Amino acid sequence: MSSVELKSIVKKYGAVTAVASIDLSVESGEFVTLLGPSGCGKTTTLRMVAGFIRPTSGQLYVGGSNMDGVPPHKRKVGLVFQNYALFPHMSVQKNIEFGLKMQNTPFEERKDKIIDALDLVKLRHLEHRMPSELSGGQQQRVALARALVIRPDVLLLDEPFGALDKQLRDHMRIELRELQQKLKISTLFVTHDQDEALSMSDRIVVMSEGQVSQIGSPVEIYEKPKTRFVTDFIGRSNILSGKIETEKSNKTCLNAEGLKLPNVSKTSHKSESILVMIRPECVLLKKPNSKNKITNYKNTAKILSIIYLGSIIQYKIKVNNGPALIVTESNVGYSDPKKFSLGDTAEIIIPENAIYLIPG
Amino acid sequence: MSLNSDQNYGALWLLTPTVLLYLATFLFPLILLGVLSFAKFEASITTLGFYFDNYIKIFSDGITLKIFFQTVRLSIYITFWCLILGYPVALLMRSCSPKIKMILLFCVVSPLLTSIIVRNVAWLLILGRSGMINDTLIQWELISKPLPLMYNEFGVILAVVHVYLSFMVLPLFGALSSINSSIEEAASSLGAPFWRVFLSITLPLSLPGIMAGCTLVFILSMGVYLTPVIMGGNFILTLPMLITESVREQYDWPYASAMALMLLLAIGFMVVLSSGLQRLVSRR
Ligand SMILES: Nc1ncnc2c1ncn2[C@@H]1O[C@H](COP(=O)(O)OP(=O)(O)O)[C@@H](O)[C@H]1O
Ligand SMILES: [Mg+2]
Repeated sequence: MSSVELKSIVKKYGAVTAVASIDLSVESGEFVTLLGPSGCGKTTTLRMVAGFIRPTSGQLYVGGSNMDGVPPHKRKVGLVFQNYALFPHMSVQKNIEFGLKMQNTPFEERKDKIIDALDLVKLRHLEHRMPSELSGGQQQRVALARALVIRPDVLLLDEPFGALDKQLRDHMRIELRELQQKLKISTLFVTHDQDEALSMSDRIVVMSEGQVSQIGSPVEIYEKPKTRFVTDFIGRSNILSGKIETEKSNKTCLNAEGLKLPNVSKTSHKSESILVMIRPECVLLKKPNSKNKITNYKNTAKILSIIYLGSIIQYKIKVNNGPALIVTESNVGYSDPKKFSLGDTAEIIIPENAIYLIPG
Repeated sequence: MSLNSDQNYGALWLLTPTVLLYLATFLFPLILLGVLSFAKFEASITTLGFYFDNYIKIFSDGITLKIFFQTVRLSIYITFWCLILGYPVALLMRSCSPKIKMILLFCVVSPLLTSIIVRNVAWLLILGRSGMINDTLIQWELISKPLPLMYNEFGVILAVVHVYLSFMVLPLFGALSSINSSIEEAASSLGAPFWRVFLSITLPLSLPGIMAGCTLVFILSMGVYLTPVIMGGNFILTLPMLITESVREQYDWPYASAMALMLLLAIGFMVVLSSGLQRLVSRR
């Protein structure tokens, strides 16, 4: 049984369509992320699940029951906001206790559950603090504990780490995922940050303009994007328009704006125009004199810019008689960071499995 | 940092006109009031000095103290009704669209834009013995003789609440608007029905606004003069009325000064009390 199920859910504000027919489900214990640019309808979708917005049409199920006309306080959802939304006039303990009181949990049981919840987010020592006396990360953990303590059917999080600094965000990401797997709680997570989505999710729902662009595992989304939008949005990629051509040797090849590539498509229709995606990290740059022979397709390029990013080095290159490409190289200690300088010529090697054709 | 504070001190000179005005219109009369209140008034002659006669009179003549407490009671009633009537308005203003918010705001503030005489005459036409309400009810034969809607406490409270409602609604609206609605949504998603959200979250978080509004309305009500004169006939006496009478009919400035200082002390006490309470609440 799915914890959450949306069937052709639509939300319109007058002439504005915030969400245009969404179908998705969160299976029991699954971590699903809604990923998309700002304004694509993620928050609207989440708030419909929580019951604060009524869908214009469509069916919504939480914990197997139809939510039509069910007010927020009767849905068993745990909600975590970006601004934490802790009760400022209540201590950490009282904040966590609130939901239990609403469920009429007896006093002794409440005490135990509060302690468990605090232990879960490692905040036992801050039980009596007021929210204003906590750091952002601590406040977000209290918000998490408060939502989890009522054992909701589904945990809903709307860009929960948006207000935290990068280091803390990375840390909270790991912590949340561990917690989620430990409790096996179904989770619907909203973010515009692809790193967050890729690192935490079982499945990602990529949204664009109120519609689902693609649903899949992080690997599928990153490596096999189905649309141009997903390709653009996830990761940094080189997208070229390509054509199938016949070479002198009567073999077909792929011509991507002048960049000669092996024909990885099954077809050999010459007229077909296709989109070719090449991830920057898949392209290898070699000194021109090196004797490497990985492929017959030899392309040379000129280095236009070099950006040092610490763990990686990012090059912008211009293929001779071809397109400009972004190439990244991981900065492993033994490789000489000054391998290339501006204006150098490099030999580029693009392995066949690094070339991905976008369908449609 | 030091540059910054230098600039701040420089800007203090801009306050000069304000300070002068304050000295001339507040501090100086206040000192005068203090000096006069210890003067003696006998046979229409004021003798400056250090006499306690006026203060002894306040506590011993039996009527002044009674009227003082009547004024306090009236002010408490007015404050109470302003709060009861103003809170729903402030709540509504917070949740409605900007356009409706402006309309509501105008309605709340409109009594302040009307002359006090016009306003009270309007009340006369509505509430008087042969006013709109009584006329209509008698015509429909729902009552046989006019209801006492004016020249009593009810009339005074109604007319004063009408004007002072805005001084309650504005601070309440400010406090309510500063509550992030996601806090209330969090409570609701944790299983709290709307009334529970109101009692546990909205109401306590709006407490600063409640206190500011109540203090403001209470202070203003303690000094209300013209409305009780018109709406109360001669049946409702307030301390400001007594003070005016003492000055205008008996020319007894010293006694009037002593009563005015008493009123001021009572108001000062209220301000200290409310700010103390506010600090207590915010520390929690
Ligand atoms: N109350 C509203 N009235 C009109 N339009 C709205 C309202 N709420 C959201 N929208 C519109 O719906 C779209 C989706 O909004 P939202 O769900 O907040 O996006 P996201 O969370 O993905 O950034 C936006 O284009 C926004 O302008
Ligand atoms: Mg959003």
